[in-house]
Amino acid sequence: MSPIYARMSEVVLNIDVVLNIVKDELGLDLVQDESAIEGSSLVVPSESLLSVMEVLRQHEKLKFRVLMSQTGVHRGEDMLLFYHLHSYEFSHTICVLCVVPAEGGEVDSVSCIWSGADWLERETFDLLGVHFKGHPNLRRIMMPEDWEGHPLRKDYKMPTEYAGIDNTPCSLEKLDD
Amino acid sequence: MKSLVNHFEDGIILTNVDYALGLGRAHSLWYMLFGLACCGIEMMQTGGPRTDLDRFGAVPRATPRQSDLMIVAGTVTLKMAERVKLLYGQMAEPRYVISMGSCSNSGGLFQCGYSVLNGVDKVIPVDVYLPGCPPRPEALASAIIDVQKKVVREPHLRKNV
Repeated sequence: MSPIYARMSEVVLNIDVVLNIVKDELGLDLVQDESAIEGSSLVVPSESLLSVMEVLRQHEKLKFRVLMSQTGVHRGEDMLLFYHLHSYEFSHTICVLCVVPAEGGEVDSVSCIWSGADWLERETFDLLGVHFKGHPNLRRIMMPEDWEGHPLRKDYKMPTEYAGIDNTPCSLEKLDD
Repeated sequence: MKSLVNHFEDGIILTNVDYALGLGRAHSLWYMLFGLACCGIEMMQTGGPRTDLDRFGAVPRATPRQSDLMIVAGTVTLKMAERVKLLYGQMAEPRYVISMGSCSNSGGLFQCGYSVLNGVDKVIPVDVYLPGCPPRPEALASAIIDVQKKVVREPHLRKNV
């Protein structure tokens, strides 16, 4: 039976293996994300994200060929960017965390490694305002083109009017209290 | 005055032209397919064999130009609100609107969301508000009957300006 069909359940990936591989290939000392509740998680500085991702995808012991999700969280001064990678061949999963500043945050686009990252990064740009360098088509994907601001940022002000439509919720007064 | 009861032969109905026209209009309410969210599934179910909107003369149209009734079924986002307004403008008068479900009535569950319109009545006039999340097919059929009652009452030849 081929390894793809042999293991249907998720295989727990030893994070030390990944850390050693990255150290051997790139000479980078990465750390594990201690705040992760479960699963393997890796913290990558934004300047070396692209090279680390290339290793994670191409290395014969890792083969992360799928970018399952790319999302982010605005926390204080920081923008936490999460990349969930999966390997069908080994049935293992890893989460890559990359922290950029919330104001004017920039990171390399991984759409040259996984073309599926195109829309995921557009969504993160749309909702959080992170700029992805080298993205082929970085514009809003869900909100209207002329929308102001990025709604999932913590400092976002709720609009009460859009394109001449008054959109004040009837319970807005309660929200202000 | 002589009673009109049993005065004429069978098969003759006395009415006025407005009412006869109104009956015709009320029983040919062609509704525009406008499923925006989960209410759209209930709308499809209402068109299906169990509730069968066809028996009220209501058949779905895929274009606003041929529609008399717009069933706004689902959450209207601000991005969609402009399109709703445009599509309503493309419908020929007389035109009617059913606001189906809590989202369309007031924003419902998603009221105060950054992208959600707090009630479709902020952009187009609504004839019947149908509560529910989502309303059952029977409720939508009842809303269509309510629109029919309204259509029958309206004078089509002399508009009340």
